[in-house]
Amino acid sequence: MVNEAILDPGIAAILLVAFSVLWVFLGWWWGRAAKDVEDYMLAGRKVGLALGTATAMATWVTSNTTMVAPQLALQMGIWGMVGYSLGSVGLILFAPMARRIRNLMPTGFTSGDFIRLRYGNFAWRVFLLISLFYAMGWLVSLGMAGGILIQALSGIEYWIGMTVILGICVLYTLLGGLRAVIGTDFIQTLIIIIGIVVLGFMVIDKVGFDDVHARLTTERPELLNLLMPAAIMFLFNNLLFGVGEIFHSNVWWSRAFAFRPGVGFKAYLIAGLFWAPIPIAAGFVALAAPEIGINVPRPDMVGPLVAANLLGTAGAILVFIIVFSALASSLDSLLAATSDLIVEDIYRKHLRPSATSPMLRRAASAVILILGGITWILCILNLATLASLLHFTGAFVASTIWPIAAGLFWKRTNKKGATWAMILGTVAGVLAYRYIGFYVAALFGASVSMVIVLLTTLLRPGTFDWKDLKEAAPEGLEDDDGDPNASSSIRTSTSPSA
Amino acid sequence: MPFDSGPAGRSRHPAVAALLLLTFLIPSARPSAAQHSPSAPPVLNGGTDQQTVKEGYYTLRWEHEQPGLYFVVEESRSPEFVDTEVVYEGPDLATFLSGEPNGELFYRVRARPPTGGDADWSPWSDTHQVIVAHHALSRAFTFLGVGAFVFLATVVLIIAGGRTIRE
Repeated sequence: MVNEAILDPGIAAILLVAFSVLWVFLGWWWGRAAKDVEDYMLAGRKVGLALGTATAMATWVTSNTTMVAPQLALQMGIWGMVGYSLGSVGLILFAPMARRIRNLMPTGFTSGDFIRLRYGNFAWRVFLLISLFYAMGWLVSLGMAGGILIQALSGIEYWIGMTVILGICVLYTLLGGLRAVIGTDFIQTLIIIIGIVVLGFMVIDKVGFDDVHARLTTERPELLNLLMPAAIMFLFNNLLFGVGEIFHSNVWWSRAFAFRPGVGFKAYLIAGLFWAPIPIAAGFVALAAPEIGINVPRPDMVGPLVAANLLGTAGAILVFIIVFSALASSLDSLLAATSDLIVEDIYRKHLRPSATSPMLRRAASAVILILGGITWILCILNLATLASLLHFTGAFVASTIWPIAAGLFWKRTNKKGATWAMILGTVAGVLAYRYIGFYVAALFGASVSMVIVLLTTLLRPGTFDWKDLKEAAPEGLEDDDGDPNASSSIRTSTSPSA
Repeated sequence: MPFDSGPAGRSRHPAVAALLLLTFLIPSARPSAAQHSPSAPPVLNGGTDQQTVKEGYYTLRWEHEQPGLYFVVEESRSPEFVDTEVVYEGPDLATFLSGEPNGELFYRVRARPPTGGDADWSPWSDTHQVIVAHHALSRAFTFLGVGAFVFLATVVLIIAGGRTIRE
């Protein structure tokens, strides 16, 4: 599709090798500092505010933020990038929930634990299907972003770049523990913030607001139209999609369990506030595309293409480093958290209740490798653009918002209501995606789910004792002092976790 | 660091690994440009005549059996291409367009060797029509209202729920 490349393939390869070695080295270096399983899996459940904020923010600044935000700006104009920045609302709303989760489940491990204890086995299995589908969608979008980035900048074929980046991140995840994930997240956060600010200023300096505005007014007027219908429909859809992603995903729950008491609220709040401007800065870059007259073969390539064409080799290198950092910070967390979910909720709870610690450790490593393999296959198929793939998962995750939020704060929300809310919400979201567009899938999923939770809670109120969420650690998983809060064999096994 | 743990010369050494990766990554030389003029026209958007879009954006794709050609894509508001505008010229095989208001647009593409002249152009492809028909504003605002309601209800649930629990 693309014949022109900006970055010399040799330079791209050197950058790829250099940063691959750096992340793998840091993953190994910090991972080796973990002396026991508590350190390894949950960093002793004592992660402080600075590192907690950095890891929350870095994980949420994904390659999607740096590549899909420009895509949405090019597709939907002003509201596209503003709508994407509303993804920060998910982090901000999760702040009080993180505090509640930490208080209700001091020994909790996964988001699946909450659903199982709160709503029973059937709801738990429905939730697992939704959560795993979402995790795969996110993983595939990250892998695709890596391949697209390399291709856009250097002309190296999509499948080669995707394979290398995915392989490095799987290796890096296998080597590291939570200390490694948080440590690298901190560095990656600094790189991303500084890089995007520098990039934004460079673009403004080279092109200027007036020229960009004049060109868009003439050639692409709808991008400046605040009444563009699809963009208006997209606004709250993206907000609810982000809320659904964060409320349900084990990536965020595992951090809530790992933060020191009292840290979760502040960490998620600050991370959300600092994250909000990033998609706007990244999105603005795309609006400069018509003014500088470059060809955009597919919309998810626009960010790297504009930066590279406008700023030359320096811009291409800068974008490469930013996106590679964003990719690594998200992939390690997602692989690890999804592995936790599969090992804890499927392997141990469904298949091998009596699994020993070494068995669980092997299972965790195998799960990470299998996840990497499945992701690679789906990425090779290259079925959709990043935004459409990502927002298809929105149809699923938005249906979990109300079952989770109401389940955390309302005793009367019942099992059947929560289960049907997830099922029918997902069906509604998928239908909306199919018959209207990707920009309303999460909106339909969340709306239908909310109505069902409200009706069933009002008409058939249940009762729930919050103490039932304080599940004792399984036998044999306490530490030497018999403290169930300390660690577990699951944690031992799920090597790199976040 | 992990790569330092082995003896020098083993494949796990970082310098060796980097060289192997570099060899793997650097693509082989691209096929040389076509030398003769294409006689057949390119195929635009798989040969489909028409598409309708409700978001104001779409992608045009074209292909040609002969590799390495140079293309020009024209846009017009009329099917006869009375007034035309070049939306792309170069070697790429697709272009993404966005921000279009309601209306009908017509596209066609032709190809020539990169070093060729005006006499080397292929015939124009079949015309591809794009009909831009945005969603109705009433529908958009209905969805906006529903989204705002669900969002505010979620905020109230979390804030009020948190206060009730603390009390």
